[in-house]
Amino acid sequence: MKFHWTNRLRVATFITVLTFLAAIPVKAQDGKSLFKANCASCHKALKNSTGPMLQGAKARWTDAGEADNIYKWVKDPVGLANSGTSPYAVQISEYSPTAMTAQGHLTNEEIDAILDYADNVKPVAKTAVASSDVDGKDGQEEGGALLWIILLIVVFSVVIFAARGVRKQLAYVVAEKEGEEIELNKSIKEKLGEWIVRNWKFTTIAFVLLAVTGGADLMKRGFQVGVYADYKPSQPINYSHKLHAGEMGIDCKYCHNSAEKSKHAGIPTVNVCMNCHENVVESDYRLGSTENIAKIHAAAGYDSETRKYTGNTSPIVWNKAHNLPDHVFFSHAQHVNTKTGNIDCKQCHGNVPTYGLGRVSTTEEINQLAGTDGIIPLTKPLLTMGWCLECHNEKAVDLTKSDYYKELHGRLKSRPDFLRKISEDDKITVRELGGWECAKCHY
Amino acid sequence: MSMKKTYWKGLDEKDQSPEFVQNSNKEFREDLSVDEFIGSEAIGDFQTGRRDFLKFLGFGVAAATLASCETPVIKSIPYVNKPEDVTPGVANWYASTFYDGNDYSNILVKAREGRPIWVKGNKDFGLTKGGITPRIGASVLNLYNSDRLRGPVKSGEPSEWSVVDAEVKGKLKDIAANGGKIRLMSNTVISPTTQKIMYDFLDSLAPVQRVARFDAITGQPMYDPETGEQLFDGIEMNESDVERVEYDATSYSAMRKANEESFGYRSLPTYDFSLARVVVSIDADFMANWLMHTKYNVDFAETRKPEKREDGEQWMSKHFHFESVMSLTGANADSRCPIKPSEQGAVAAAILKYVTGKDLGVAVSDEIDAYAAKAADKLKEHKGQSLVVAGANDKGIQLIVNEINHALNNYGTGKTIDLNKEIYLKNADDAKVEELVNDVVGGKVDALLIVGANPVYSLPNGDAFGEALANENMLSVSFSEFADETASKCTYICPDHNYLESWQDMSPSLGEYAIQQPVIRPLFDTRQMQETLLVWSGKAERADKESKTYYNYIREFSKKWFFPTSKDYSTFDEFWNWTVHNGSSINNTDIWTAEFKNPSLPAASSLKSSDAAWEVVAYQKSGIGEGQYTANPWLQELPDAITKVCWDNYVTMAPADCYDLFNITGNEKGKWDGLYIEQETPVNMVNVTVGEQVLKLPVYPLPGQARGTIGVALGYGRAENQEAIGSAAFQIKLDQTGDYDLDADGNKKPIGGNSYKFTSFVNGSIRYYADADVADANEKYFLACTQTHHTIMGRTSILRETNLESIISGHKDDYNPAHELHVHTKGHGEHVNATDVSLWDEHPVEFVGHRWGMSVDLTACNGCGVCIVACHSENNVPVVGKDEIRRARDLHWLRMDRYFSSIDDDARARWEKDKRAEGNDWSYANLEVPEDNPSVVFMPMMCHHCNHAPCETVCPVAATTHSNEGLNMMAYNRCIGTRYCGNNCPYKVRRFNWFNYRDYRKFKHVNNSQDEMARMVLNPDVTVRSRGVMEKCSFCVQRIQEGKLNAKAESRAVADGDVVTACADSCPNGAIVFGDWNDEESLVRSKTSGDRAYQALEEIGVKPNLWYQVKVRNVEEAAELAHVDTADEPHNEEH
Repeated sequence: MKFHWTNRLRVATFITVLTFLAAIPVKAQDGKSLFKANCASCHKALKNSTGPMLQGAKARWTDAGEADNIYKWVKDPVGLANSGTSPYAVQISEYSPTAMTAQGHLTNEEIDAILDYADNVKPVAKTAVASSDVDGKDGQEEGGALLWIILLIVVFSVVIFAARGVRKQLAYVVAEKEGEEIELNKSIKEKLGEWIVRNWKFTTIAFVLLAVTGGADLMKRGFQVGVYADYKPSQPINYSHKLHAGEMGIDCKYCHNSAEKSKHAGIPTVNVCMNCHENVVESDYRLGSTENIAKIHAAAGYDSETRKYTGNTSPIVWNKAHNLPDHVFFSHAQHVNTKTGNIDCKQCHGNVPTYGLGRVSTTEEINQLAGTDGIIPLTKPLLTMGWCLECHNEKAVDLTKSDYYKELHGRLKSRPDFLRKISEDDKITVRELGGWECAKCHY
Repeated sequence: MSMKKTYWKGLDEKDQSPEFVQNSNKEFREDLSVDEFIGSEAIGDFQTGRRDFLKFLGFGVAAATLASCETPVIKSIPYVNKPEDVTPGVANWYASTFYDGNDYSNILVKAREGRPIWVKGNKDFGLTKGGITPRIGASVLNLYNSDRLRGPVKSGEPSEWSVVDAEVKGKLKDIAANGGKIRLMSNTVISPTTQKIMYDFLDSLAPVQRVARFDAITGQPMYDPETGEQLFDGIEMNESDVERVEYDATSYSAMRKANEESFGYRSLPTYDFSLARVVVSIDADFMANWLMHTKYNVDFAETRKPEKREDGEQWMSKHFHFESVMSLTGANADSRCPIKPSEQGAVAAAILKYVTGKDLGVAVSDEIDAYAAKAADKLKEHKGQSLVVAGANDKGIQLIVNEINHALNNYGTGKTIDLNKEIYLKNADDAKVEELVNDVVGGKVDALLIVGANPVYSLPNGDAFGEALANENMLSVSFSEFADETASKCTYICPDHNYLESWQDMSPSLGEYAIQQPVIRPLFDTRQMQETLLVWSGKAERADKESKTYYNYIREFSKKWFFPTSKDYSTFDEFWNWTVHNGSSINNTDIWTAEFKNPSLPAASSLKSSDAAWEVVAYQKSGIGEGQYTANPWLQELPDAITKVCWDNYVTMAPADCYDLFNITGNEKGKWDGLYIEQETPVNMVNVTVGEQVLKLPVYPLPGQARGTIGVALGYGRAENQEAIGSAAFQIKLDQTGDYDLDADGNKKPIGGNSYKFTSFVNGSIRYYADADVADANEKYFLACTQTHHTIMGRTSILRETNLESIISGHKDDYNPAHELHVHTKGHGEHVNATDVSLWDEHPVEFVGHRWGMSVDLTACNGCGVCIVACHSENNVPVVGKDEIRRARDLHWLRMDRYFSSIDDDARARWEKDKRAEGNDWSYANLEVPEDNPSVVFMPMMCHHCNHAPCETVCPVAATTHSNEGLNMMAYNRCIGTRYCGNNCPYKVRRFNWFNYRDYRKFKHVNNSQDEMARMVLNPDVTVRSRGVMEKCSFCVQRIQEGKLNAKAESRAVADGDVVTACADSCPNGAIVFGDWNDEESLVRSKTSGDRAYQALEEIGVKPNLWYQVKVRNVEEAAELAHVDTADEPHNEEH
């Protein structure tokens, strides 16, 4: 009980501090998210953009003697400028030919939060290097592991040799002391032979074990050759699917827009990026985002200061993540188009909105999505032929969905025996219509 | 006399030479010529001992292991700004027009990601209705020839446009100011805008007196409809120092001149072969080379349909042909008469005599007379629906032909010859050319600009012309794409764009307006000739690659001239956009009536035939033509339609002449030598001498060649002075090194010899034949000839032919009976249809999904070879070069079998007897002397996609399997190259991929995929196969998949036209039809259930998905079927 009051005091202080501490981030966080949601497409905090820079906006209105008009301005800029009551509004409405969009849904508190946030934004040090992706597996350091293994082998062999030398020396010493005769003239080969003969049981077992494990390992590795599951090459631009497809909810086919028409889904061309990034010049999404956006601008030949195209373009060289061998013909149009396969992108690409850089998913990841959007669980590694065939064996074809399939169905009906055979399991799969035939994909 | 027909692909097959018999018993003729290989000097380069071998093996295993550890990073570069119309992975098609001074065709170009990769005829719009030649099909590869000039050249060194522009402009100005002679030499220009630019350019150099343009129809001066200004037609030729001269390497100058005399206007008429019931051709190869052959070929095919037509009539044209060297057209004739070239006048006179009774008093042999009488009879039966054409560049002959056609009432609108609708091709006037050439050689010309033509190569006295050109006192400018024979002698070369990079307007005939549009951005720093002229005449500024100068010029011109006469469009933009979209448009034209002026006919003395022992004909081949594209490996690899020789130039000679010349007698071993073309059997070489000119060439004994004549194709002997016209232009050593074959001076040997040297100016026109001397050169030479490759032993039932009469009044069983097999059931024999007997269960293709089927009409197919080039280009078939072809390792997925046929036994025996008789006059009337005048059948042969495919059952790794759509599929990555399938294929259509054609040094100069430029032509939808696999026709499965996908995406059933194989797509005559056989509405279904449909080797029960249509000739006697009841045939016992 001795500490009762102090405890109380402590608790009270703690809560106060906590509340206090909590209050600031909550408010700042609100300001940031409100800013992002409502203003960021035109305004930057630290820079003039489509709209003027927001930092110091409040002060500028105050300096103009119209501190209260800022709320009216945000809620109805045109109304305020036309009202004749605000000279500053008239002045700033000449900033750009595009009138500011009225943000009538914001409360004064929210406007304050936004402006406070803008005033508190600190410039990011330009030296910051684009670093690792949010999910932290950027690039592949295949060389590193190998180097370590070699280094370890070297160290161990040195140790072993050293130890062996010491042991040998000791043996000589012991032998010398005990007066034994040492057969110094025997070669290592002969010694080894003798040793093997002496320990034949051990060597046989060791040999068999080695052969079996080695063989098994070789086979396992062999099956991994050309398997691209979980492959994530580094990219010239640290692009995040998580941000674009995930948080912003941009549809896959907005960027990969030839997926429905062509065999290639298509890597978005720079002009597609520029649809948004003409305005989205900066981002504090994560460290280095602004630099990445600058790379798009460099490729497009876009000067974000003057907001003009210089014509000086340089294409972006991406590293392809999903690689099929040359002799495989795969068509996105066949699979993705609503009138053909109508398969959800997730079936093969997994939960892309959670990825950073483009990468090949793994079977396990995709299987976690099974059951939603018609995703079929599969067992084989991605992008292998077994995996394709597995799906073709499972996937049912809806023969009523278009005139193409109706015609096909009509023909099948004229061979009832065949139709009965293939629809025994109440579905007609891709395989049963020929989806396992070589020349469907290989030509 | 037995009337049994025998078919043979070459003399060796006919005579059953030992080597032929030996080879045809083998499925693969892959034997390496070991002696040669070991004896080769190059052997030192690749000696491999056992230890080395083990080392390589060890290294190979290690390398393979290491290579597999690392994941190769594949780069992918998207567009910065994606062009609106381009979707990566989806092809774009552009309508355009092909014209190179020789061939004209409305075409469609397929482009992938901005690269043109495939060309076909435009069947929907334009004059030519889909007609193309192999040259046009292969033209896309010329674009990627890495020897193309990459910028302007001055005195052999790369230069800058600004330098060249300033210098040439200045020099021209000086010359013009001093009254010097300036000549602009071009091949026939059919672009109205270009003509105007050329005249404006010449105008800008010197003020000249111009000639008013008169309307050809009304004879009134013409005025600009918009400005009201009077129009001028160019330059007074005689007074001025500045002139434009048109020059055609193969000229029709005499024909224009004859028409001028006959009708008062120097024009060429429109021929409509589709209206002709009788065609008589005197050496006019109208299917492959003569005038606007692309159109005639398609039109003529219209008349060769034996089935009942829509109007209820059932007829076929009758085609008589007189010629010396068997041409494509001659091979397809119903009646073909071999003549000497100098007898053409006599033939024309004889026909004239029989048609009109006018006797010019020209002596003619009885045989020819008999043929002429027969032809004239038929002509008279079809007055107004007949056509006589002559190929000779000889005014006298053309005048007679005009007279015959006039007498037959063939002239007029809606008739076979429409004089009013003149065509603008081949406008050269040889007399003016001769004058210019003499002026140039005589040093009288101060400036010569050469557009499109290659006179140093193609003039009779090209060498002298070349020397004059190299003279520095004359300003010489070439606009060639290459530093070719002519351009390399010029001081300045201002390289023109390739046709696939250019805008162009064209008016090939009155009322026809066509557009050539670029399909790719210019690859190099070239500039369109028209723009260069505009810059030099001060009408435009030098612009960059994206220059629209000439494009705008064409548009303006079109707006002024063609749009006002357009029938179908109300605004210019509409007119322009649709014309570009369709590739052409038709304008209103006035109609006038030509009057026949009864010109005096030539005297008999001028038509007298030559007495020389030998006459040489310089003819055009369907693949090489005039020789612009000799360096195109696809064209070189394309076996010649008639001789089936690849990569070479040769002398064609009647076999009987060969026996005499090389003293081949009896059945001795010597007899085989030089007559039969095999891998290890070289042919003889001869020296052909015409005046001063000598060519040493190998001899190809060509059945059907007129005796006493020899043929040498034009277009060879290019780049004699090592000019850079393409790496495939030179001879390659016949060994593994793939190096050029060098002569004693270390120069690359050109392929063949230049037979333009045998031509001459005679009476103001170029003559393409001459008296010659032929002497044995006592040398041997290896030819690569595919004629007996992939021979199907004893299976002559593969061909079926009949005559029109049988089709009209006969029963199917007479000319196309079902095959019957003798089967023994329960102790008694009976005959059943071959199709009813089977070892296997039916493959479930009928009525399940699709069943892809093909029908090939042997009547419509004329063997032109467009399909082979189309297949080559579509399916990335490697070019293998001469040596490999010689070893029967050609990789063509589609081959064109050419069979000669003759009546067997009796005639043969008689011929042998006649041959030995003294004083034999080699009677032509005796039609059926086997190699004297055989008839010809062309048969495209590709994978039959058998439903009971023998290849599938023997594959140990199931690399070739059957799809439920009826396709015989080939999975290259599974194939281990046992070649069992090739062994088992009854049609011999499987090809083994012997080498790494993409890297192996042997193919460095011939295979386009070894060239970083030329590999851009590869089709990205088809795998480039690797060494050690079998490959074959896939029925263009990539197109099948694409067609199905398009139908699915549009929610509709697959219809005719969705899926068309490359061969069917490009066939000008519609001989190949492809489609879904399970679709009862489809064309292929109705074709294959017609009376003429049969399946090759039906009796062996492989149930192919390919049908042929019986060949029908319009002849009196029907050929007897080779054999119908195969049960009696000895070869059947093998099965």
